Amino acid sequence: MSSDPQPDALVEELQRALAGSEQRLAVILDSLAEAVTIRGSDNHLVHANRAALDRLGFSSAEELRRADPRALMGPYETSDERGEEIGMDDLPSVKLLRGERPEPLLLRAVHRDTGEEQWSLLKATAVRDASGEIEAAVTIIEDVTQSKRAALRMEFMAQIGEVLASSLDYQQTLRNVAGLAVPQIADWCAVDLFTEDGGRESVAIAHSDPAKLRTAARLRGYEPERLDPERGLGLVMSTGESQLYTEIHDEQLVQTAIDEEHLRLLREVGFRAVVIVPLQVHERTIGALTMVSAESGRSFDRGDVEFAEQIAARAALAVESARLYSERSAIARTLQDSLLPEAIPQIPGWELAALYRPAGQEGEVGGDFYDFWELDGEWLMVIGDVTGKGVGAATVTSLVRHTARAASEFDPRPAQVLARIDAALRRRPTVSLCTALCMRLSPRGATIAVGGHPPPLRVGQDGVSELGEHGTLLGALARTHWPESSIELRSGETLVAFTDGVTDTVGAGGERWGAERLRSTLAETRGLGPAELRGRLVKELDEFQVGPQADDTAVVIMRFTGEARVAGSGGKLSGVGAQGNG
Amino acid sequence: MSQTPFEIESVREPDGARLTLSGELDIATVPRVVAAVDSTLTAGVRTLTIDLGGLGFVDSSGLRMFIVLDQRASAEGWTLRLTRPPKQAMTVFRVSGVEQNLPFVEDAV
Repeated sequence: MSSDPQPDALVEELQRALAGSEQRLAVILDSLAEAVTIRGSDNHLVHANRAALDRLGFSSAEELRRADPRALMGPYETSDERGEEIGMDDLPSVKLLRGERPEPLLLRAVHRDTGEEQWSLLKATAVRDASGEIEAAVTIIEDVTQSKRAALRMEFMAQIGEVLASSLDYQQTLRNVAGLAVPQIADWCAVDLFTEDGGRESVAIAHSDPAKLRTAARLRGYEPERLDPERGLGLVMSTGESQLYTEIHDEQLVQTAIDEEHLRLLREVGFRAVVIVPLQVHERTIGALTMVSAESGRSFDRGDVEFAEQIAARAALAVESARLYSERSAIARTLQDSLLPEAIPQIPGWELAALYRPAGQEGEVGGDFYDFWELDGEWLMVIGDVTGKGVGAATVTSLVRHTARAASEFDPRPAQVLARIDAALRRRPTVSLCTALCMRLSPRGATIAVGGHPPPLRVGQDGVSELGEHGTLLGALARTHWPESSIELRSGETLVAFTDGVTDTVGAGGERWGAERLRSTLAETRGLGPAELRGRLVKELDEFQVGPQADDTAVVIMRFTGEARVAGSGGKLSGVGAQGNG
Repeated sequence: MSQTPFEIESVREPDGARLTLSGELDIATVPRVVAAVDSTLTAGVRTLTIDLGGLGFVDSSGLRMFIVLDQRASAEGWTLRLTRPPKQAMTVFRVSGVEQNLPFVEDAV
């Protein structure tokens, strides 16, 4: 195409047309920061200002004019914003000369040798002759590398923010971060965490091409047990400082390689540049983020290092909070588990089920508790609610539980157990309050004492009724009174003990679930076994509740299956009370 | 049944001060009452009457608060009076056996 004689004539004509003013025009154009090129109708560049010549790597406009226009793009990998390859025919000036009306083009160019990446915005305008024919196209090329990178990074940081907030599983979070980084930031992205003993754990490695990941997996087999503290990842681990490698020569790969296969794999990656930045928590290096540029051909610079450091800082924070959270959850779980029986026991003549739902975040210890223990062939059950939450409440719960068990050894009467708990709580330096219901289960029925706690309900053929008598809250009051009631039960009758979190559950408009709803639910579900009833209560509460659960919830369901020795609806047989010294 | 916002009205009386509570006294609103009591005491009041007449609901943390306030009054040498407990609150106090342990008084107003 360039051998056609006509274009040469046109160029000369254009140059003549510009003649008088050309000198001035060139001076004006050279003073612009934007690169400006003028393309003749033969697609040759006929002029370029200083900025354009610098970018294209020419010393003079004459040299440029002589060049093959197609060769100008040769040293670059060029693509648009979406990563689609861009050829000369896609340039706005060339389209314009073809008679199209091109949109401005955002062009990404990566130099094949240096890996330098540039983003340019190309806008073309037509120069027409007297007859209105397009004789040339002027392209203004604006270097938008910095703003484009800044925009990409901001967008990336926003995505990272979402990824980091999405999961408390830090390993998954780090995998998501690495996955997000490719291919927009790097061709490869890996995250390693360092172990206390100087080793490392590869948590994530990402590449947009799954075939490449297989190369990574094979490469991992060659990684040494101990990192070399003088180089790469080991250097970052030992110094806590970021490393940037922009020159990776084949000799280095040869040096690193353990055998031929290893070398082949390393060469296959095609390292162009590597950035390794530390993941730091309180100045302690807990891991590293590695970004590798390979087949995309772009290099990394200090700006990329800083950007990687920003990503690493946020990732490190996510790791640390996830670790603290899981530690806290583990402590809370252990503590909570220590406050509840390991399993609901098998008690002859009874079928049992229990429900326990602590309010608030996972990782908080609730103040509700229940316990069962055996004593001389009979069973004692206690359910209660310690005021407060967290470790303080857990301490009190623990005291109550152990006091109850120990007290029952001396005197197994429920009222006496409550009196002992009350005395133990009073000895604490701060006001420690507890509601509790203590029940002694026998093959005939139950003996009940209540200390400031909602009385248990009996569900039987006659409907739902409240059992026991009110007694004093434990831990602080001067005048105390714990009446004890003995209940005879019929086979199939169910006792339901619960904490006030059940009836205080908040629904729409601030309405409480209330004792009436509990009673009617129990009446409707009469005949259900304890496990089914438990499921039904969970469902009812879940459906009613609006917003987060406000209070701990505990329910113990006990169905009496033993032979009833004495028929009748039961009632208070004994009025033995335990009186505190007021 | 919609939830009325929790409010505390503080009035000086010839022999002390009166805090009139309305709404729901629970884990969320207890700290506000404690803060109001503290600032009233800081102002030099030695006899504090808490009017429960407007309370629609009292939970176990509300109950605990009254017990703690009663103990504080004995320890710090000021007088606490509770008046006009509504039905639901009274049930909570009765069930807990707190009724005869707290300084309830007939309302003088």
